Amino acid sequence: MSGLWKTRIGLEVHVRLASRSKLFCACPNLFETNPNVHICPVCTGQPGSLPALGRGAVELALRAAVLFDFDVAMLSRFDRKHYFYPDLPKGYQVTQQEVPLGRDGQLEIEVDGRRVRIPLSRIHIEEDAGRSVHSEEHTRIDFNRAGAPLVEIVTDPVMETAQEVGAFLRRLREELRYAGVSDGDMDKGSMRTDVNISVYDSSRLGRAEVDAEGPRVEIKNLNSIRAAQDAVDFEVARQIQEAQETIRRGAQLHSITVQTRRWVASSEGLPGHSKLMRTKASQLDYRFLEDPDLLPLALLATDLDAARAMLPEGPLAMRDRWRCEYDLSAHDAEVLSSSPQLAAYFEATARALQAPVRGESPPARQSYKAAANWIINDLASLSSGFDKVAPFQVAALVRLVESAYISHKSGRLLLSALVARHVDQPGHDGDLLEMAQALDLELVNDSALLDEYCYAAMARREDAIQSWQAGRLQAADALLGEAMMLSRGKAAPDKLRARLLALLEVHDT
Amino acid sequence: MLRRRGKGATLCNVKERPEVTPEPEADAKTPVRPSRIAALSGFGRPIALKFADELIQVVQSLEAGLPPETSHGQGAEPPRAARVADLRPDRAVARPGSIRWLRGAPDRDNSWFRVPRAWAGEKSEDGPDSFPEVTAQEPHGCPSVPAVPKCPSPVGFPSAETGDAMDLLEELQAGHRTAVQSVEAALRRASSDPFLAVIELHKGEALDRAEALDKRLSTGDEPLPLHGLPVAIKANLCVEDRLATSASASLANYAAPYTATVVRRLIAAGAVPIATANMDEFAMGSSGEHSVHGPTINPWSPIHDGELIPLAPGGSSSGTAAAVAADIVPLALGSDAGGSVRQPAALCGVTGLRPTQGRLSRFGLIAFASSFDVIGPVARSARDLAALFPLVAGIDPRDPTSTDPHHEAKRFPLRTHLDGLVIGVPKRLLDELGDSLELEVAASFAQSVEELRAAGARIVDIELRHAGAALSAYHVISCSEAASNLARIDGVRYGMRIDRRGSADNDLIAMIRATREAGFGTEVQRRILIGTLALSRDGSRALYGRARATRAEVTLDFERVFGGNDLIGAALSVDLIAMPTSPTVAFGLGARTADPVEMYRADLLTVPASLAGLPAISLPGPLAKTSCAGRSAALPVGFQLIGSRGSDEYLLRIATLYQQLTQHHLARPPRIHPVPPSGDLHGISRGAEQ
Repeated sequence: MSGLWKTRIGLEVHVRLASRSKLFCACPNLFETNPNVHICPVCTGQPGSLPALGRGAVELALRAAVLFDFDVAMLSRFDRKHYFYPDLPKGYQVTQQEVPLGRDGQLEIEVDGRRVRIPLSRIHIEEDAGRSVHSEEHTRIDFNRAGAPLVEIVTDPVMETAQEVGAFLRRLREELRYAGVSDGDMDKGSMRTDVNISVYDSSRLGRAEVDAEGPRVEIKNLNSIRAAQDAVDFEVARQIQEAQETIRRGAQLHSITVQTRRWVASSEGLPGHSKLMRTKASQLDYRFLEDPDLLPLALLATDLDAARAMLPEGPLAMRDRWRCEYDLSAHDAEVLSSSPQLAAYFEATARALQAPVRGESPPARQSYKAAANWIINDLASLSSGFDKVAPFQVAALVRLVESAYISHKSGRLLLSALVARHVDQPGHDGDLLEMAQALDLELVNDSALLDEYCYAAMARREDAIQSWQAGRLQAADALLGEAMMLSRGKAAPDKLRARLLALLEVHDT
Repeated sequence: MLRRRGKGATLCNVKERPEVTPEPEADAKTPVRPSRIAALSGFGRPIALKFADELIQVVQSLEAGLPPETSHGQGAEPPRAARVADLRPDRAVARPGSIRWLRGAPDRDNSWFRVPRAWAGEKSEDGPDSFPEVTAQEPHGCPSVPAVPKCPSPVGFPSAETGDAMDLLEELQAGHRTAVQSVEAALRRASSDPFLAVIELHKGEALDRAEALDKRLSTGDEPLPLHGLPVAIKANLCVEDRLATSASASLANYAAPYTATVVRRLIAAGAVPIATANMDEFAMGSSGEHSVHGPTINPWSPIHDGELIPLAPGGSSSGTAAAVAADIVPLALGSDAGGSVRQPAALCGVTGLRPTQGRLSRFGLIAFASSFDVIGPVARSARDLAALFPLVAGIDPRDPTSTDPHHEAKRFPLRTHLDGLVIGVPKRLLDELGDSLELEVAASFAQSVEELRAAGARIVDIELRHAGAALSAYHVISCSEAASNLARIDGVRYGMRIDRRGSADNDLIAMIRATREAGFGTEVQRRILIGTLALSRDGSRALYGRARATRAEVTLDFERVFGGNDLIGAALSVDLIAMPTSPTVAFGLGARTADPVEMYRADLLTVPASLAGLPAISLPGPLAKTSCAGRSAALPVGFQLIGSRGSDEYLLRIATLYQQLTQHHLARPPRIHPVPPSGDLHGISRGAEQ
């Protein structure tokens, strides 16, 4: 039997804020270091310690809230969420349950060229727990991460496919990175997601009924986009199977048990699968309590203005602008905006191209394309190329090649040389020219000299001239090769060809 | 995150998160499921069984004590909120406030907290395995608790000081006595303390500090305001390297890694902490009996026919009040949630202040009920407290709930006499107490009121309509917060840990439960369970909300009284409110331990001010002539003056004026005899720590 199975997916994404210190103490918000180094009485929950909310984390959380168009609560509160776990130092996590920082936000994603608006139900500030490392013998705990500032962003359950989930997470991460809210590195745990999935038979159940029932299954702590997508695919199939089986046994509709599951990624030949953690009957009771140690967070309109003012141009706007202003292809714009750092690099290169240079006309549109190509094709493949070659040097390179001062191939040589020489001194624009000269990369542009190469080649290859005269035009290529060889590869190719053809015409008559 | 299951049964091996544990759905008729409440509280089945019936009873009585639910409001919004501009700057490492502990690096420099050595480790290629397991602490058992208190004989107990702290300070600052002499004398008295008022002496540091203070004076510097004044510190206040046990077995070996703000300010003002004062475990109790160190004995305990009849000093700041009453120190710090400073001060015949909520930083005070907790000083006179208060009060960036002393206190004029002072007495509230208010207490209070009237004060009748429900509201909220605050006592990072290495069911949950069952005393377990229940989904969600609403009503009652409304037959606003501190005089040790609800009634008159966060001071009134074991005895009675928010200095001023007119605060326990300040330290030598 089959039904019209539909899926509703909602996400809860935890984002670690890139503030300098932890949420409630002055410990550095760093954890890729020796264990238990950045800790203090506050973040290890020593008796008698009290939390003091840090401004940096609040400002970043607020920036995230305005970034995704949330309605920001001018007065929000902090609550304690209780459960016992050894890496939770206080026996509770401070979060914003009752009155979150923001409600009703949104994010637009693109799936198969179609734009979908994903409503976001809430954003709130909370603290991270420590890190447990389990081994055969022991459990060890590193509290460097305890008290790190997070925001949790919750979507409405409107997504239907793993593809949408992936697109959403990528868009979200991109926006967060561009706004400087978080590094968004999922492999470092800077972004983690829980997925809520409900499968229902739309031939039997209306959407309103499904809404009323709430989510059926939550999968916890997925730490990559791939894992989130795999988990969705697996879980949808699992739920359909479970539902079909129970219906076959004559049970009521919608018999998927409400439960929390854990994703086990594929390893050693075992496919990825989700595993039961707890069912509704044993769902945790967190006993939320408004934190008596923390005052409510009161915002002023100026705080919101400040947060908006701190928002840089987003990736979407940037791509659109590049396509109009620089005539970049969609693909190039996409690649160059894949990280805020790369985007800034390209932007700087474009600005350097625009800078007026004595005796040269303003850059043509293809100059930007050329710059994009140098960055995407060449610089990216050089190790630490972006650190060693400055954007203005890329601009200079574009000009040198464009004016046929050096060949494209020599341009590559020049780039490698720049990377190698970077150790000594940072160059300036003149240096590139000097380097080209020093490396003997200049092309021969002088017509007289080019003519000499052509005459010499024609002298050597009478046969080629005859074939050309016989109408085999490609014979000119042999002559061109010969002339180029004679110039030891230094003739400007376009000009050489032009001269050669001109000379052949003359020779013919 | 993935959690792997360990093979060997080691102590903190986390079993994969508890698998489906079938538990029946909550039944509307039997909303309280003790086993589930115990589990949520971090306890096992034995605790669930032990408290099963009682829990339901206590909750029913608390429910009956609250007014019916009117609206499901969460009570009034807190008066203040944090603005982004005022938040802690996002400044990592820049101030001594964060630590960088690196192996081999000096770890004390510029650090206010030391990372336990066992915690830090080097990271190596093979990942985090090289850092020590947090589970590697040596487990230790529960310290033995004396089952029957051993009654000491206070006869001939040596005492050096007969005056108050200000008298002693005059001598010290004039150079008639050195700080070392003063501290040595206090240490000597503390070391022979027969009342178990103090539990640890701070010998080495105390003498070092005293020496430094003397040196400073000898170089011609101005003496510090509290130069050489010996003080005792309640065991729930953190003093670096000193035990901060909160009188609990769970923290019996816990030495604080940092010093509480108020204690730091006290030390900076020249005071010298000489001892840690006993208390009720985690400040839960009104008798001083719930201490892992043993019960404190009231210095006023009568002796008949050579036999001491031990009386309770009140609690929870039992040792604090007793240490001052026994003349061990002229000044001591306690803490007050529902009356923990005022009630023992009343029962021990000393003066104790509960400051306005937020005036004194709570940083370093081991929390019991965060929204009630305040640090409160105890002394022999209100003028001592008035001298101390400005030295320790004020905003602390480490406690965001601390408040500015000036904004609220400005509007109170400095008084030089009591003439024209308007004092409200909640007559109806006292009448409603009936037999709960002992006749001797009522008589003593009436006399104090007469004295105030005679000094020119106008006594007016006021009504605090919701004060009757205050006790239940206080218990619901304080237990909820206590259950939350004590969740951190789990045996993972510090304190006691009970684990059964090698036993089959030894997992994380078992370790936490065993530790908490052994580490907490009965009263603490009881209140954690009540608090968990009040916050849990198990049918009692309304309890907490109703208590919050009642708290808001009580606060409004006080505001009306101080604001000039609701006076019965008088159209003026009240300057202060007076009422007895404790409905009874000191009771026999062990007399009330069997009945927790009866014990809670000791806080009946102190909790209203606590709910509203108001300042209140307990002053000794006329002694009560009472009978103890068939013989007459004179026991202290305290009465409290309650002021409006932020009026602490004003309150202390009025109390000082009262004490200038009366002599009640000079009364001393009969058997404490002054001895000359000379003499050696009775075998106490420096460095030999207790």
